[in-house]
Amino acid sequence: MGKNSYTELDKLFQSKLKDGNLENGDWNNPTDDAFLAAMSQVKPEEKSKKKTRCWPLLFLLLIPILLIGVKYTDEVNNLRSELNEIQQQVNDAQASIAKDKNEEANQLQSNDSATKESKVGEDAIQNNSKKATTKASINVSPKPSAIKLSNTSSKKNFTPKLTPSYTSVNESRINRNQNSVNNSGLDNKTTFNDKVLTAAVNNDKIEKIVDLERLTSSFSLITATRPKAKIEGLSLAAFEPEQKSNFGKNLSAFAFFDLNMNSIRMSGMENTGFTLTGYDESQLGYELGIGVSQNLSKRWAIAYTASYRHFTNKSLYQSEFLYEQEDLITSIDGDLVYQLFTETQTPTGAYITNQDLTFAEEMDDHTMMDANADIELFFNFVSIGAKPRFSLFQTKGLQVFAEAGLNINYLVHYCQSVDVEFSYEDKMMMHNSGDNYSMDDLNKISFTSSLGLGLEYNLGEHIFSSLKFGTSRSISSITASNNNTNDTRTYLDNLGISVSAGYRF
Amino acid sequence: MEVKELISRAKKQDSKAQMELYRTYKSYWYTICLRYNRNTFDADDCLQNALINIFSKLSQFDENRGNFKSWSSQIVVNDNLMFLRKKKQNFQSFELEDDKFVVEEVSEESSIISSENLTKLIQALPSGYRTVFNLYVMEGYSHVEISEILEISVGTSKSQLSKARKLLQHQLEVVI
Repeated sequence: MGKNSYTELDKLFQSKLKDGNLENGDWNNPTDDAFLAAMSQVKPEEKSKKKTRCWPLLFLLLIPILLIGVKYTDEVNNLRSELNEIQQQVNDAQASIAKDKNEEANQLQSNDSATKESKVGEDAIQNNSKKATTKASINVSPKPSAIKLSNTSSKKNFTPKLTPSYTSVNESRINRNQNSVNNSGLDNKTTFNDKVLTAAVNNDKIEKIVDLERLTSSFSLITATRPKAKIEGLSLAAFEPEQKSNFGKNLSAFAFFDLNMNSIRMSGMENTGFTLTGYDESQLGYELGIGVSQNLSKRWAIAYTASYRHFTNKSLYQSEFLYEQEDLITSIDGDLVYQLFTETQTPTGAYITNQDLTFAEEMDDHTMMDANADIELFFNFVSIGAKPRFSLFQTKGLQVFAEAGLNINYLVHYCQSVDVEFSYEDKMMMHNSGDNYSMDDLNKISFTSSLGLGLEYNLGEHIFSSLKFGTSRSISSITASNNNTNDTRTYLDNLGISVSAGYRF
Repeated sequence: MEVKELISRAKKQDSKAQMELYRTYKSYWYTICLRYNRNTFDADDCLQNALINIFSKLSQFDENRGNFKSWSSQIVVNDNLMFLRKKKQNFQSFELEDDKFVVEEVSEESSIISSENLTKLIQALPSGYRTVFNLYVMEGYSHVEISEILEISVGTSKSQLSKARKLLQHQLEVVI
């Protein structure tokens, strides 16, 4: 057998079996069954599934961060404005004290009697040495502008001693007092007069400064490096307001049950082939969950929840279908059959049926058949949510609140139950039903936003219960973008009432 | 409706367009399946697998990089090879195979060299011969490529082709 004959053989097969020269006939004409069987298994590419939008998740995470940020920004701003006010008050007080000192120094100077002056001076020194010592003990602020005085009468059990480090601070203050006296024209050598001046500061002013000192110490969040001076017999903490943040406190845990009416929203639905259009019937669903809530401020709180959601929906589709007698075919058995290929667009994907119509041969040509489809959908989700809450009104036992939130839902179970029937003059022509549990065309992860208005009532010191009316709305479609629904996007919404009970720590 | 538009609509999961596309190419695809398989049952299975892959991967098809017919035929051929691989476990068995060459009764209605009868001649070949003949003569692969695809030696590929040609030549001479 020569090479040329093989080449001819090859050419013969190529010419007869390659593209354009193929002689078609029954031998190479497959039925549509292969196509229908294949299409029921077609899974369009997973590509679009990877495009899961993650911005709602980021938003979910950002909510608590933003709220905490807002809370602390407000707090810092408030503290800053308070600081400015106090600084102003301190400055005013300083000026007032300096003025009083000068006035009293003038009065003392006017006293001519040397012996009297000597006696009064010695007594004053004795009295004021005590007060000056006390003053120094409380004078712990490193701020040079603040005049620090104290009053033994306001702290009766208090017998302080100065630590060396504070002695120098007070000496410097005494020096400043001396300077102020010098500026007013007093003799530098009359140091006892200086002491008298210091001692002459009246008790009201001392108390005022102590109060200011207390307020100033509240700025520990800003001036956290404040030195903790130790004074024998006294802890300075006694003068400082509570500095610890309430964050971490005011926690509460709760459980809730939500009963709601479910509805389905669809967009981008295309009518291709025989597609039924119908309406949606709301069904009852529920949500069961637990959560923790944290008070962020007097009015703001945030709740984190974990729940199990059951969503159900029923859709009834009605349409008509034209019967054409020319489509009747003769089966192998010699019977006349009318094979009906239908595709029903359901909220979660196409439901394809291919079945023989019974009694078809008895029907008149070009008659309209009634087509009905009942489609029930069941979804079960595990859901995690974050819900900031704002208190609109509150009394001791009652609170009215509004809340909004975002939930991330993971689909754990799904079922689509379809019942399709074709009838003509009350005669059932075809009936087909089945359940589908495949989640291939669905997004496992979806996001919902929620809005609610509720009442919270305190049942005891720690126990509370609440009643809330709310709605939730899908912000991402439950159907994957690569499904068989012709870009139909399906969203699950609900409207419901929720009851909860909890314990406040 | 033009093929281009059909493909475009089929990509959007338009079932009517998908059906139309199938009807346009079904004979062509099925002939490939028949060429690679001895019987129609296996050919039907292969066609179904090929259809799943064609319509699943349709969005990957770029008309600027080739025509749909050759793109889809490549998928059909690959699915047939996969089917044979699963059926035979591995292609080493081709070398040991020595099936009896039995041609089904040729159709008298058409010419002996009709597409149908030629397909039947190929179907009657032992599967190893048939596969190599299809890949070399019909798909245009070289022996080196065939050896890689079927994981056989180049020599085996050549000998299987030679035997296939001999059998076909003989059968054609007998029948004609």
